[in-house]
Parts: sequence; C-alpha cells; structure tokens
Amino acid sequence: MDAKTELLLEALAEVMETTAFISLAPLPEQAAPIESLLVVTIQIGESCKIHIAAPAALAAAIATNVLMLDPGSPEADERGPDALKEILNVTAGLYLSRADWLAGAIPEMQIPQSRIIQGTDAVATWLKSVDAQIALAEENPVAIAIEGAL
Amino acid sequence: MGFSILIVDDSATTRALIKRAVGMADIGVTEMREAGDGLAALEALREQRVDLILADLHMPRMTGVELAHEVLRDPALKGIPVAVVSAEPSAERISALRAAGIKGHLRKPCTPESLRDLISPFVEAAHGRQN
Repeated sequence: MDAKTELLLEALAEVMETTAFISLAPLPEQAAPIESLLVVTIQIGESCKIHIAAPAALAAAIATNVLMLDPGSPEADERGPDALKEILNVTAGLYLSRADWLAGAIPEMQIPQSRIIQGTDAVATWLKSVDAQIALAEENPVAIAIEGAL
Repeated sequence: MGFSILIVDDSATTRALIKRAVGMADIGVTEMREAGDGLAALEALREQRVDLILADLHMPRMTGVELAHEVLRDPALKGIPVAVVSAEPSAERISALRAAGIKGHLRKPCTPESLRDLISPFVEAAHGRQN
C-alpha cells in the first residue's frame, strides 16, 4: 500500500470511528467473495476520483448508528446510501486537508455520486481495477480507493 | 433565554450528526430546525427567523455561499449570521468565505467541542443583545 492510500485509509478509519462509532479491522485472508457493493465516488479536480464501497448492510449500519435508528429497520436501509456518501465526503475532505504534497493547492471536491455493482465477478473486477484497499467494519468489507493523479 | 439554529444540508445524515453534536455540546441551543438546501432554508426563514444558520457549502439548487448572499440581501433576514459546516479542505477557499459574508467555519467531522467553539460566541452575542 502506498503512502497516499495509507493516509486515505487512516482518514476513513478516523471518520468511521468519530461519526458512526465503527472501528476498522484488517480483512481476514479467507474473506468471502462480495456479492454486491454500493460504490460512492467523489471527483477531485479534473483527474482524480476517490471511491468508497461497502455492502448495503454496512451502509445501513452506519445510518443506524448516526441516526440512532432501530437496527434492521427499513429506514436504516433507506438512509444507508446517504450515510455512506457523507462518510466519503468527510473522509475525502480530511484526506485532502492532510495531503502535504499538494502544498495548499487543493482541487475542488464535487458532490458524491453513487451506484451499485452486482455480482461477485463484477465486484472483484472493479475492486482490482481501482486497486482498492479493503478493511473490515461491523463484519462487512469496506473498500477505499484513489483513482487518477492527485 | 432561547437560541435557535437552522441546519441546512442536503444530507439527512449530516443534519442528524450536527443536531446530535449540538445537543451534546450543551451550549444553550433551545431549538434546532432543518432544511434540505438553500432554497428550503429561505422558505423556512421567511416563516420564522432563527439566531444562527449552519449551512453546508456544496448543495444542489443553492450553495451555502449563495444562501449567505440571499440572507444579506433580504431586509427581513439581514442580521442572521451564516456559518459553514463543511468538508472543504482548502484553507484558501475557507478564507474566501469570510469575504463572501460567512461569519464562521467548521470543518467536518464536527464534534461537540468544535461546535461549542463555533456556536458559543453567537449565543453570547445574542444574549448580550437581549440584555
């Protein structure tokens, strides 16, 4: 893992902890294939994207904690995507504020966009294409990736 | 003495986070209202004034800066301070917010302590005016 990706993962861990009270852990080596991912992407300037991806169950868990909902409630499922977008928004901002190599010339962040990737093959292909780093959160995988130059 | 705030953000998650942290900060905020974007905020403000607006920067339909401009232009709303709570990482762009009429800024993630530091001066100023 390169230094920039490590910095991004640290930012994600901090935001998950302080915002959603969820700690990150290393992904077990024998982790099960991921069947579906909610992918949220922020465009940074013209040439960089930061992605966060998680199963809907983790997004719902984040919403449950942040909004103090009943676990497993339909509202947690509905609010999950918005909660994951906010996690990425704050993570990206924190990461960029710590990116010393930018020397203060920080590109603008766009509004996050989301989509769903279905199927273990499609998920695996996407994770490999963006060289995602995957951690464990609430017994679910969460992936983070930087695509393009920053 | 009461103190009311309007939280403006297109993310329900963020609005809930800010409300939770303000509650935990225990700084004398007696009413917290919400709006999903700048246009909804203006409609809410024309029905009932608040003592402070906490707004995100990047929102659809109307940004936080555009909202601040509208509040400054409207005689009925002028005097309501607008502070920004955002993930904006650039110190330069944050400095430019002051010139645009923004009265305070807090970078996310926000904690009860950071919200206390942001909001307390506005509470004290409002109570000073009431006395």
